[in-house]
Amino acid sequence: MKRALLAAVVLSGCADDPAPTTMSVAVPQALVDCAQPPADTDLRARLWVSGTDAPCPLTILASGVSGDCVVVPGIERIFTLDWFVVVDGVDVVLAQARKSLDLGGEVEANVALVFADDDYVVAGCRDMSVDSLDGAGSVDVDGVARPVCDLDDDGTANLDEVCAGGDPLGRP
Amino acid sequence: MRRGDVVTTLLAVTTLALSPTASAARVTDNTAPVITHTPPLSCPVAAVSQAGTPPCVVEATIVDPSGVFDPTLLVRLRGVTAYERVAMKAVDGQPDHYAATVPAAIAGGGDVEYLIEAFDLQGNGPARAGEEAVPLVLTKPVAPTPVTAPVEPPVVEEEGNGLLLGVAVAVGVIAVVVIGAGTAVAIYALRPPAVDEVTVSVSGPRPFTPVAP
Repeated sequence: MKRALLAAVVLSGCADDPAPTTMSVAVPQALVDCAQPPADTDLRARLWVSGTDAPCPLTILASGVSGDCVVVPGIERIFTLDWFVVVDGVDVVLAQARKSLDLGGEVEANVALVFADDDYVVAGCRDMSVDSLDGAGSVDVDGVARPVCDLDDDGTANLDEVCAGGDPLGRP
Repeated sequence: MRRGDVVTTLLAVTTLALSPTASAARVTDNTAPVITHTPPLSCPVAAVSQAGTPPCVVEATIVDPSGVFDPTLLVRLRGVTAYERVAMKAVDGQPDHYAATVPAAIAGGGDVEYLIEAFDLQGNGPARAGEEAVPLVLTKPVAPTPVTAPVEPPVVEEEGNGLLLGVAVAVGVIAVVVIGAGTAVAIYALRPPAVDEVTVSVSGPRPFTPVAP
């Protein structure tokens, strides 16, 4: 299985901050092998555009995802692509990719935005529903802050748990 | 993660030890600017000067903690589909106050429909006063008295070798024609039309490959 690498980077503190900080960095990966992929009827995709509150829905195709999203130009925009399923009413983000487009200058009326395998991460995802620019690193599930792409916070990504037939929410 | 189900922790601050002060102090701004605008009853009633049409100015107060980006007046004659975009400029000495002048061709042509929009420097927006489908209206604007401006002859310079330089400036088009000594060169600099919206066509692969059980 081509699996994402999680590199734990320990940054030593500088002189005025003796407490070291641990930060997990998700390494962009290629496709993940999936033994029990979600059905296309359950799989969803959406595109968050910085500066807008609601995501742009995308269409799931056999080859991937496609869609047209209308954006007001005049500034650099951040585009965040979510692949997700809904489990018990909770959006379970399986993979996420982010790209920026500079729409600040003279731009064409039609622009292509192409994501590749290596653009996806399955850890370190951001919740874009509260901040379409930077997002948030965690969401509350049953009153507990959980990593967006590891909703049961067990160290295994949502995508891996879904593909293994497990419950990404970790509920009994 | 439906919005109703999830209360997202806003204190998602990634503290990098290498820059502890800068990273921890960041304030999230995910709201569009606030536009306060009182529509004028009509364009100003003023005598037409020889300079042209009396100005029809639309003003608004636009506030955002991150700073206001690209405040714009979208304006059109009633009955016209497309809006013309006019950048709103900050008014000197009046913080958060912006103004734009309705183009004379629109102000003098009948009822004027308009809206105001603005983003902030974080990309939030557009905030709008008025909507494209339901714009604000300036009724009964003062129709300007037609002013016949003297037609300026093209600038013509003749030099010793017979070089003729003509400069013509039209809306969005600058044409420079240089004719001399049996050589004619025409250079056209065309400014592409402004784009009000961009259609972003998105495509991407599946993040997983199904494998046989």
